Amino acid sequence: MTSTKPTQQFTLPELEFLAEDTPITIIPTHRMDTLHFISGSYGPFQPPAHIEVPLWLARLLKTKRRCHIQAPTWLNCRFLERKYDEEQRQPDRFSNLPYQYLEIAHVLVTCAEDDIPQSHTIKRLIQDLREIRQSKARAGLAAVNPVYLQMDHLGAVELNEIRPVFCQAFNHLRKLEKDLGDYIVPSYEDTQSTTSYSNY
Amino acid sequence: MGDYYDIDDILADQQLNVDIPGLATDETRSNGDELQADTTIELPLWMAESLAANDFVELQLPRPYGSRMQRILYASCRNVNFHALCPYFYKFGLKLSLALDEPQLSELLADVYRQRLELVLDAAQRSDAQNMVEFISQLDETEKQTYAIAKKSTQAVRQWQKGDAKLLQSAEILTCFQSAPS
Repeated sequence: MTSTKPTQQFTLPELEFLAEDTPITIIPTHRMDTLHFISGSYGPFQPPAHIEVPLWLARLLKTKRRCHIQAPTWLNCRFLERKYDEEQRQPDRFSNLPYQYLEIAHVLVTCAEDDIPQSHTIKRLIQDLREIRQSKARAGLAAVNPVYLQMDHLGAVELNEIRPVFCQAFNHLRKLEKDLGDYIVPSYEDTQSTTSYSNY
Repeated sequence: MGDYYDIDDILADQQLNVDIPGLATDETRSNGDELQADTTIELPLWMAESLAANDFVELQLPRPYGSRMQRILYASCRNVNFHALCPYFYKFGLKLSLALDEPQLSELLADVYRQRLELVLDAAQRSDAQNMVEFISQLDETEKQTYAIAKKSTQAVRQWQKGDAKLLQSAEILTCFQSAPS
């Protein structure tokens, strides 16, 4: 029997779907009238004028070869390399990347490979970033306590990945450490200045 | 505490035996002896607990939770084979610490779980899972559960990145309603 209890996490296609609402700049290649959708109207498209549309529309137009996609400012090698250095320099905190960076990069790299300069290097850098952040999230989870856990700048996919594990570990620890008599919850300001996840 | 219908919980109850001085066993009875005080025997926890509640017996920690084992865990818990010690090491330990009123035992268990959590996650997120079989077999049931959950969510991300998970599927809850007889 299948349970009617909703699962604890989103599926990855669902996350990708949510990320597709992100506005992105495109350069249309054909002249088109305004397009009307339930979510809003976009256009008119007059090449070579730039126009901002949601990612799902950009992807649709791109597959029909009606536009070029302009990569977001953070999706280039220099920026990502700098972020990677930052991740390495600060072993106990995450660098500030867009919340949905994995999904957006995934969509753009798969559907608009030709519009993104050095897309192969970008793919590799994104993977590197993901791995270094994954190992940090792992170390952060090991510092879990029965009161709370703080990890700033974690992306949607990364959060979604650790959510079920965290819930289980948290519940288990709470049962074991029921007696929280003199447990002091560290204040947000204290943890801000030292590390981004608590070690108490 | 505990879930009445949780089969793991029920199994945990039966796991190990608690040493109990002061009660006769079947053997002594068949020998025609009287109940002897101060003998040590092992009983399932569910029985020992109720006997202790009525002050018939005094409970002692079983070997996998004894002071020697606790010292080993304090030193390093990473290579201890929990599955051999007791498949429900944490759940049973928690019950013991409540039954015997030893809060430091459950605190130790929480510490141990936290330290081993990183190893478990490490194993779950590696791509060469075949090499981890030995490590996995040493985990207690709770840790195995954690491992399974972590592995599932990591694999989902990996599949999506490879492009294997393209379709947006209808939510599980909707298919449940659709298949339910009206």
